[in-house]
Amino acid sequence: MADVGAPLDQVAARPTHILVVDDEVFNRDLMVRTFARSGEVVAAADGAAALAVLERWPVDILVTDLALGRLSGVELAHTVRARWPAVRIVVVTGFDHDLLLLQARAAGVVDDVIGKPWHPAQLRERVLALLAARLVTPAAGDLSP
Amino acid sequence: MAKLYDQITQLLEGSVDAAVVIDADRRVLHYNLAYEGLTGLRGRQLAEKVKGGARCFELFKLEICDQQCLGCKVHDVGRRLRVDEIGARRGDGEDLTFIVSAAPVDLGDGRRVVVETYRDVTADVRIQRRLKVALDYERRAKEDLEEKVRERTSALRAAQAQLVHQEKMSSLGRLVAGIAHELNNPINFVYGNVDFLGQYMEDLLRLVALVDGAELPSALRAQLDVLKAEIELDFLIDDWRKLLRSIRAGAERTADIVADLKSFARTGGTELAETDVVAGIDTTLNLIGPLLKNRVDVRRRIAPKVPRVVCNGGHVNQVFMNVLTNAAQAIVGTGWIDVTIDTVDDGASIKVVITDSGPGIKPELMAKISDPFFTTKEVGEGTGLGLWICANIVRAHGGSLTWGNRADAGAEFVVMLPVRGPATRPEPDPGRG
Repeated sequence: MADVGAPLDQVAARPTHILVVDDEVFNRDLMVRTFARSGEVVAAADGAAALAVLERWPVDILVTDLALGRLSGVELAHTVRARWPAVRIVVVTGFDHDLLLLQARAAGVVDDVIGKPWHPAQLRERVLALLAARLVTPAAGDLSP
Repeated sequence: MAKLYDQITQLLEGSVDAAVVIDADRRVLHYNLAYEGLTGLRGRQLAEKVKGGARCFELFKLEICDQQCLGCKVHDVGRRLRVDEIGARRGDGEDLTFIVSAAPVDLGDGRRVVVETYRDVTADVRIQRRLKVALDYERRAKEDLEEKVRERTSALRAAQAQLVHQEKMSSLGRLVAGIAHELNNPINFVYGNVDFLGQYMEDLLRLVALVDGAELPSALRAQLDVLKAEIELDFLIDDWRKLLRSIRAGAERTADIVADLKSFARTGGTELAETDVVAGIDTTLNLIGPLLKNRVDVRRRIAPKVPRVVCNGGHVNQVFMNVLTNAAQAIVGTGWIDVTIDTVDDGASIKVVITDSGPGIKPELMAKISDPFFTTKEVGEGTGLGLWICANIVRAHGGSLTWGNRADAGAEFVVMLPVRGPATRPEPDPGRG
């Protein structure tokens, strides 16, 4: 898989910042592994931890599991979209027909939904495609997937 | 013998019933007071006519007089006869009903006369008829009521059965969905990590190859060769790749099963969505694979570009699950199932024909097999609700489910579904606004 490397837009040349969120440790590790060569990856085990990371670290892409316990992936997505609109959000889920998720996707709150089980190459490709799309459309307000 | 005759006429005078005494020529010899009323003639007029030799049917005519004469017959056979409910018009024009009785009397001097009496039962008959009408009405009302009770009871029973079945299916759906979701995570990290494992190993093997190919101090070379022999490096490399392939195949197969379970479980709710029915049938065939294994040859003939159908995917899958399971169970030993999918009605409907090589449906059961609770299976093996639910599901989608036997094979089930879904949607689909 080609390494996209640093984003070329207004952000100073730096590696892509990827935040992965999953309450299942093995899947979290797998996500970190999947993106390890695509940028800098930080992992969080739940929504609150993810928000804490976002507070102090500029995230380009958030990849979150849907079922997270207290705060669901969709709720996290809504919060993140409201506070950090430029962050691309991908939800990974076994419930690919979840109504709230479909609504969030239709409303542009969630940029992409990827069903479980996912393949690392496939997940990486979809996530980095979003990043590439962001690079060619600098208008951060454009939320269409 | 005039004495006997006098006795008879005296008796008749006191009778409430009209009576006449006639001879063999049907001439009236005597009549009583009640008879006068029937003829409508005044006393003297009647007396003169009788004196003039009037015959009975000239004075008072029964509706049977023209066809057969009761008096003549009695006179001939010498035996009493009686006829019930004979109509006659009274002298004043009113139509009445009589019981007519005629008895022969031998006067002893060789003469035989006939005593004929007429009892007016008009009122009795009228009452009887009214009573009969009333009783018939009551009987019909009772039958109607019983029929209604039967209908309501069977409707209630059917509704209850459907509820029970739906509850069962939705519990099963929830259970399957729960299992599928719980399996998703472990499968994900097995499936997802296999490639990393492979890549890491290939990296290590490159390192090993590099070291092995390098100029090494002889002591190290010797050690390396011993280790290579000990771990059987060539075999290890070969077998490692096989191991990895089997782990990946296992994870992929498990992922496929979970995907099948998820699509099967998606029965909740009433939402309609564009559904790939062909994929649903494939999934169903995968799920019932163990029933078919090495026994039933499934042959699919799928027309190109079968459109997606607006339907409740879970419910429609349930229909195919049921029909295909029945087909598989009908085949004793080995056989085949043909599944043909076509687009018909200029693209407005899809038609799925499922034919099997089983024994077919017994003609006497043809109309019954979709009745609720009808089953040919052993107690505990089938609820008898499957096909009934299927028929309801297909009907709810505006389609049709029909069946019959093929001359050259077993049973054939035909499912027709309109591509655009039922005419009126039970609910808007919020997921696709």
